[in-house]
Amino acid sequence: MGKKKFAKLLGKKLFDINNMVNATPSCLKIISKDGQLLNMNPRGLCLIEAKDLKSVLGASVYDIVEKSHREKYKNFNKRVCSGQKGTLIFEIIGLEGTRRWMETYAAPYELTNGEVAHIAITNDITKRLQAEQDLLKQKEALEESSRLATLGQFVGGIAHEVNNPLAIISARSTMLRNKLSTSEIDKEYFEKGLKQIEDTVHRISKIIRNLKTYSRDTKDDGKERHSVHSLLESTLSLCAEKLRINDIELRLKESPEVCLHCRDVQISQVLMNLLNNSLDAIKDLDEKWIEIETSIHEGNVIIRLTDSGPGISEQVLPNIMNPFYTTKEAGQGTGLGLSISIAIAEEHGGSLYYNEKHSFTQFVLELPLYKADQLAA
Amino acid sequence: MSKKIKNILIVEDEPFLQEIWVEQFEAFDVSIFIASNGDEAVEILKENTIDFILSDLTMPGSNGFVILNYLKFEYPSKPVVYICSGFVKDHENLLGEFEISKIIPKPFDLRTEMIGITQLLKA
Repeated sequence: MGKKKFAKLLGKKLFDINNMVNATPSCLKIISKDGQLLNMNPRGLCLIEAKDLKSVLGASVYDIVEKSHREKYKNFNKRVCSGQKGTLIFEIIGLEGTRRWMETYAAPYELTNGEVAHIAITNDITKRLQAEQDLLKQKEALEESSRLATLGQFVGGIAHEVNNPLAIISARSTMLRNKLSTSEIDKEYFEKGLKQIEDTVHRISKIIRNLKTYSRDTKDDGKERHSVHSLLESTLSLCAEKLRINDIELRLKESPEVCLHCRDVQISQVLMNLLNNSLDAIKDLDEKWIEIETSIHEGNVIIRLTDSGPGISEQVLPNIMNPFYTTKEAGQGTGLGLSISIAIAEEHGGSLYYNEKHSFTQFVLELPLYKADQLAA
Repeated sequence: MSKKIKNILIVEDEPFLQEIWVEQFEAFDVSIFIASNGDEAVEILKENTIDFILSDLTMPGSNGFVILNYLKFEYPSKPVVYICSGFVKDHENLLGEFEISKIIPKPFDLRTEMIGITQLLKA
């Protein structure tokens, strides 16, 4: 742009400051130190649902701030009027009842009478917050469906694990009933048979309990103290039968009795996902085993899951942690297992990685020990 | 069935189910052999002439197909074979390749199944 033209423009009055304020697509306002509205542009009036400036001039802005945010907003106003800049996110209820989330940028402003007031640019961020929340919900839903998809890979095994005990209960009941028709009741025989039924029912309940734990909605769960033993046991109880059907030997190495501060279902999800990957990778090999080893190192619990597979190829390796990447056949995997598992591990202050140095396929899950236990150790 | 059944082989990894089957067969004039997986069953088959096999399909170590394969290719006499499994549906196409007299899905109704088995053993 030529300087000449610019100089020409400077000389003319193309806009005035009032028009500019009126046209600003953000709320501009001045508030006294007591919270009285001293001025507000049209956009602001629109957001608070006021007819015009006259009808709200001098009114207390605190009244439209949503109750639970009011104290916070009052303190903010005091701080600004005592000379500090700042930003604040709060909720308002407009004069016609519309709720809006607002983000304000405020600074002190000296009035002509020498009093310090609060000047601010404020924007409606309701849609942005909504979008952020939607995204979070989608993430949770994705995690949930991935968990259930992993569980689905094991459901066949779980069904079989229930069929066996059911066969025992059904057959044993028939036998006891048959015995009833004989003249003499052998008490010992009945005791033994009934105990067998009871034990077998407990076996099924345990499976169902673990299944219920794993499939429940967990998004509101807080982290709690859980022992690594019980986490492994409940996860394996859901996977064991599928491994058995596929003739995969499960080697559970002796592990120290330690606890994690975690969401049990999420850690179980990580383990189940690793087991499922191993199962898919080795089920057609001659040598089929999965080994789980737990140890402690510098305040972390290290869970190593190794399978008899030959490791992951160089072409595949860079992609394995990417969402939606899968080498499994269509319908066999979501491609989300590892990426979600990593997110879970990191959210727990730990990590999940592939150990390239191992001659078999090994994944390592590191998680911080439960704090109190860490001190005692 | 022309041949009288004398030797029975039960293949089942579930101890309670083993017990239940043994109790059923004890009522008959037969010898009962027990195995917990395919390999154990094959060892018994090598040493004995078995007339009737009642076998699970999915067992740890070696499964029921180890037995079926052995019977098909290496066992001289042809015993009556019953398969008792909760996983019959998963193996339906494979099972067609073998001579199997009956498939009992788990869980089963013992009374109904024993009617058939009694007929077989008393024939």
